[in-house]
Amino acid sequence: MRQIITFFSLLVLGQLLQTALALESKAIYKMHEDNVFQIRVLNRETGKKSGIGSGFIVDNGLKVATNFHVISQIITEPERFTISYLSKNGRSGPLKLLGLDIAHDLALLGSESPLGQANKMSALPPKGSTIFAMGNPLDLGLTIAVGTNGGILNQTDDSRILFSGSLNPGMSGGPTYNDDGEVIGINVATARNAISFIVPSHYLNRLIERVKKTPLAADQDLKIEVTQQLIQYENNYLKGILDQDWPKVQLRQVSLPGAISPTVRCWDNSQKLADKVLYKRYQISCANQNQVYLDSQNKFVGNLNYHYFWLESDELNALQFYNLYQKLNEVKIGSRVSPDVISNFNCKNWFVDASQQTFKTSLCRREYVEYEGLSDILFTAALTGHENTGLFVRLTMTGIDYEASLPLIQKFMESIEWTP
Amino acid sequence: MDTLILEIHTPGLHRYEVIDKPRIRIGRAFDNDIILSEPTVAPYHLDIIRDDDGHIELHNLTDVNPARFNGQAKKSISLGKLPIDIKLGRIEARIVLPSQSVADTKTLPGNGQSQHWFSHAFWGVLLITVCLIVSAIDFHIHSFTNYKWDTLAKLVARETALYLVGLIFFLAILERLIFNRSEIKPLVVVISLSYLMFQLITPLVAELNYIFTSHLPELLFDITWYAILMPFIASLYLIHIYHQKRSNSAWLAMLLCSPLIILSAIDVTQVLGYLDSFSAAANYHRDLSALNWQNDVTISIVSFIEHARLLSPGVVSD
Repeated sequence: MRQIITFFSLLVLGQLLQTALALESKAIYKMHEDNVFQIRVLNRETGKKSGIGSGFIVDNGLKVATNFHVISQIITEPERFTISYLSKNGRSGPLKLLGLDIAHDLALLGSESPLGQANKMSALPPKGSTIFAMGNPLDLGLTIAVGTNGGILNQTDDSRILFSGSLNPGMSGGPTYNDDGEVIGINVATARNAISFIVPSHYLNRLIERVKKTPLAADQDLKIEVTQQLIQYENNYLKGILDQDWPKVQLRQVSLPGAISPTVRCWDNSQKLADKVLYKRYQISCANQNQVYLDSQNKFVGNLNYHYFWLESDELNALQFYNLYQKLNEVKIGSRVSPDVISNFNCKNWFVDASQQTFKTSLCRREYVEYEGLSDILFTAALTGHENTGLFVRLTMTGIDYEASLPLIQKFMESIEWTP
Repeated sequence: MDTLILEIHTPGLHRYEVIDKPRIRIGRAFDNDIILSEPTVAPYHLDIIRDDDGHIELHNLTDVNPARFNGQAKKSISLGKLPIDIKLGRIEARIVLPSQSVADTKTLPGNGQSQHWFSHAFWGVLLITVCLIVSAIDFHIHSFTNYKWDTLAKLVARETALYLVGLIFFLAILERLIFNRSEIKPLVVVISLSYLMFQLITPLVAELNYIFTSHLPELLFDITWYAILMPFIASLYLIHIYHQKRSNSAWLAMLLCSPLIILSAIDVTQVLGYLDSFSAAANYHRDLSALNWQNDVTISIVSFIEHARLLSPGVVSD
């Protein structure tokens, strides 16, 4: 009995102690107000800021961590822009780029002179814990936002923590603290309505270690570095998808690949048709959630989307049905990019046998102008030879190595199973 | 001097007056011997005077739009070598001898049979009816909802009948402006036949597109239809219905079809330019066919991937 009382007394004491030790937002703000900066991308000619974000001191006090997307302008136009920091008390100075982690939207910057006390890193606290995000929202000054840890999101390839709190533009690259004031992640994005995302701190630790071993050379072509990192990440991502068995989804008479990765979510997009319409159509759309920021022109790449579109009719004759089938196939697929950043699509058609059915397939490829080796791919397949049944398969991938995408297309086609 | 003939050129059939009196006065006033009701003709425009010896003189009577003889403005001339061209205001005329030779008679094509066929109301009504039936079938094939008969009829009336009537009306006005007459019946027959030909060829072209997995048949058809076939049909129409010379009819047909030729040329230029200019959209061959006749062989997935490996990226636009 005494042991039980002692156990519970210790437990209660521990909780009280933990509560007493846990810092409040006011204390965390006070503790870190001098080691969280506004990161500014300045135009060399005017000296004025072209983009802003947040950053914080890490490692030996000479490095600043931020998001890649905050400073991405110096990748595309290094001759026009430079990076600097601005502290809460008005101290400022230049920063240079030491390392990048494109896949996780991280950048490590360095200063010639000591910046202050470095932040301590920590692992992610349990789900539901209170966490605190610091940054400079909308150029309004340093602030702190309180929220809770929603855990690591597997649909983002484990690259994001769900933060139930408000991040705003300008806070990107700022630190997120646990209640001990240790960095558990880096602010990165928001979906509004207090749904925000944070990069886990272990990716930052990995970047710091990599920079120590192989820092970026002063004359290094950053676009090549960006391309290589992106291709490496996407190739690993595709390999992970190809190495596992794919779940199936049944769409009327055909079995098709379902959510082929934990990062992919599938939705039924079938539309309700009017009663007088003489056909039925069903649609399933799948898309991944782990896009990667490339630059201000191309925005995000790493999309993996696929759509299935089934069409059937017992009442339309073959001529009517194929007129409809073709009409629905004529929807153009594209994106809002300019010729400065990407080439035209080059497309070719083949008739391909899959599961004893003939598909009219088309494969289109275009390449990024400034990131040699990165391609966007569009693959479509339309079932042929059936009087009143149609199926479109449409697969798009962006910012990917073309060669690496072909095994995925092959497995995709091989996974189609016709069930008469 | 013998009796002479004054040939007055008016739209449609020319007018002929015999000059056999000592004095003939021409003008717009009602007391003239020959009255020309043309606003540019003066009330008293020209005197033709024959003396006792039979010599004829032409006297200009007006300072406004004075008469011109063989293109020259003179107060008066003595009539010498005939024929002589005279311009009275906007009216063109000439004085000729009764023995003046005339052009050979134009024979009607097929002994007039084709004109007979083209001009027969029965064929016009029949072909227009066939056009409306074909149009109804076309609407039915391209409709995916449960159309009732009255809806289909309204659609045909609104889309096809109105279009055909409008086109016939427009071309009839054009005929009237150019030839001062309108041949409605042959116009109806030719327009109906052209419409039916278009309705027949278009699906065949779509089928060819699918067979060759190419848009070249459609492109060639567009060029052929608008730049060759339409002017050819118009030219035949002018030769057979209006008895124009071949060279004249060819030029006139090209002129009449020039809006269509220009539009198709713009279309083709755009298609060709489209291939070179930047497009954020993927333009792949999307045609599908119920017949499913294809020139390309069906290949295995592995073979497809091998072929796909050779696909190069698109061209970077300047």
